[in-house]
Amino acid sequence: MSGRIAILAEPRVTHCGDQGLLLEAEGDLALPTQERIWALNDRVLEWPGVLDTQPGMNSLLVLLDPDESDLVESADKLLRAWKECRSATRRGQLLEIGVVYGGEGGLDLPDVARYHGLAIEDVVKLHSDAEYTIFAPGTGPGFGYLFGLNRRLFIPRRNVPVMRKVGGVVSMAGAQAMLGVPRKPSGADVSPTGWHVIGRAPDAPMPFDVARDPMSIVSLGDRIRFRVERIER
Amino acid sequence: MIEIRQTSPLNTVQDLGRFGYRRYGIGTAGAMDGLALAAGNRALGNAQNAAGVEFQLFPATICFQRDAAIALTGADCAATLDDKAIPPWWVLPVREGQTLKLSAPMRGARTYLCVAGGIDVPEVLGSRSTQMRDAFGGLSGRYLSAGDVLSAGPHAAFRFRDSFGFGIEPPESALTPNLHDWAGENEVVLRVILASEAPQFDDASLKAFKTASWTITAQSNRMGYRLAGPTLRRPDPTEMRSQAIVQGVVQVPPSGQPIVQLADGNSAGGYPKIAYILQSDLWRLAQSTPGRTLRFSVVSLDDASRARQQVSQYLNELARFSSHCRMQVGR
Amino acid sequence: MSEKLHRITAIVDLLRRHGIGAFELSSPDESIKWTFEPIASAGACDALTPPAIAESDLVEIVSPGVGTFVARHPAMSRDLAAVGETKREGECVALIQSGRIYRPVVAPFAGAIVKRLASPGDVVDHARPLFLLKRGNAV
Repeated sequence: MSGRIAILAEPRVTHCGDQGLLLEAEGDLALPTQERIWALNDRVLEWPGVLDTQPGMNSLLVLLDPDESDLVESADKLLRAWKECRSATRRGQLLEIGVVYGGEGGLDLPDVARYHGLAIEDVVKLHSDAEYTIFAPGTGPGFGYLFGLNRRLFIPRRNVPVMRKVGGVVSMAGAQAMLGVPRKPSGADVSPTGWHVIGRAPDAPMPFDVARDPMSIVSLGDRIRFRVERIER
Repeated sequence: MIEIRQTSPLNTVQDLGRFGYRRYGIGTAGAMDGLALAAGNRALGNAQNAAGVEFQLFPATICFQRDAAIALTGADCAATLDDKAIPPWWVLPVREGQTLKLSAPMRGARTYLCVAGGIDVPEVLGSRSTQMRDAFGGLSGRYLSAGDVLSAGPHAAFRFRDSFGFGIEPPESALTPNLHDWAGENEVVLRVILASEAPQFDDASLKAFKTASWTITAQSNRMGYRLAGPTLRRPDPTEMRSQAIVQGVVQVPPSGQPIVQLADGNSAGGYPKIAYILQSDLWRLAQSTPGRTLRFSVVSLDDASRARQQVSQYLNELARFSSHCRMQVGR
Repeated sequence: MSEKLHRITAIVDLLRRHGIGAFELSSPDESIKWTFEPIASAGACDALTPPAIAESDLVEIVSPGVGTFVARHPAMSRDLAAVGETKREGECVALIQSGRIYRPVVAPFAGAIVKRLASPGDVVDHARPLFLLKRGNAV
């Protein structure tokens, strides 16, 4: 894998089959761009014929009701709206999360250090010095995809997924970082991942619970700092 | 009141899915074969989106504690009511104390039990679908188990013109072209629209995607189907950013073997996407079992729109014709 | 088949159930007239009521209405009733399709299917014999 990341010179809107549209923003991952994505998300959700929307990293998915909206016209409208959309600064709350790096809960830490030619302590320092912003919802309700990974830690996804323990997983892939939700009592112990797991947050709170008010304790734009509890080998 | 006497795990209450909460990363869930659920509902005079029970593991035994009107759609699971055979895609009255038995389908994968008034479980975040990943919706966010009692929602009372009930034409017969030749050993054809990343695959891979026969592997469930076939290669494996994804997207992980994300699939991911299966064809995949082979047929957005119109016309016709087989009774 | 025909079938069934022998309906653009003739054939009464010559061993199972004869449900891999097969009273042996609806052809009593009298795809009238059924549980 090259580990290079495609960067668009111009924004584009493409079709997700006959279900919706994907807007991909121009340029590299950056907070001002993502703030514009969030602003666009809030706006588009109000459009008639829009079933749902979901920000991604530098992108926005718009699901459309085909009976109420024309895919081709909506694509033009979405691109125009993006160009007109200004970023609204969102400085969310800051969460501090303790992390046990390496060991059983961070099996890939030595490999990540080796890949970058860094000492394990340097990887931990680069990872825990940064402040991360919740950029987009993840694969399910949780802490989402995090932006803010130090460039020196960028690492391609695995070619073949591996099984890793679940529960407060601290991981990275490409330019993205992630904090996994705590293990659910009824849930599986391990799950397949193409990401590199470098640590575990034993006391991470449950970010989402449908029976709680509010359901989610985090919002897009919230920030996370990782505190080093200890490094295990 | 519908009592589940016997069930295998993996059977759940589902409607047509949950929309409007993707900002939390909450996926759609919903019936895998949404067309079968919608058809059963329309035949009973329910709202298309009413909740039903999705059976995907058999056998199951259901006892009715009250008179009701039900529809069985989807895979033919050799259903019997008090040991009397019920044809597939059947709409019928059931009496208090009668027992419905469902057996493993000879073909097809999922059977839907709809009931007049819909299965009455609380709506959670705008839907009655079971969201297994986060354990909410449906019946307490879990699979059905023996002893569970479900009730039907309110509905206008009606009688059947014929006490045996009536059948509704299934989509494999009503929709054209016939892409779903159950009887033959032919492949199931799924119509797709190529994804914007399709050109990143090499010519041989694109050709293979469009022409090869793909086998559904055993790693196929409500989350997604993993397919086996020729290896699809992307010569310049540029790292992808994580993006929101939809049901029916065909992703190609670095192994080169496609994954189709389905009802309980991830709401986001970073694998390159080669195509999207038409929404109108997702039921064909939902009813295809591991070991069966598929073929992809690339179509245009216009074709997709025609396919969708055909499905909605079919459902409207079911509703209209079915209404002649029921007689409203005064309340 | 058209929805109109489907509705007419429903009307005819209602008339039959209520023992109405003749019926005429006209509107500016269409009119329909219906009269019942007594049918001589043995099993040619409502499939759900016992046939006239109940003593006979061989009885015809007749169509419950107007429509297309369907022997094999499109979602099934075999015919609803094969020749030689034993059916229980009240079991569905075939379907009559009208529009998007199937009406059941039901065995009036337990017995073995001796012969099929219609071909799949045939458009059949009400009371058209579809099967010969041999009374009794054993073939």
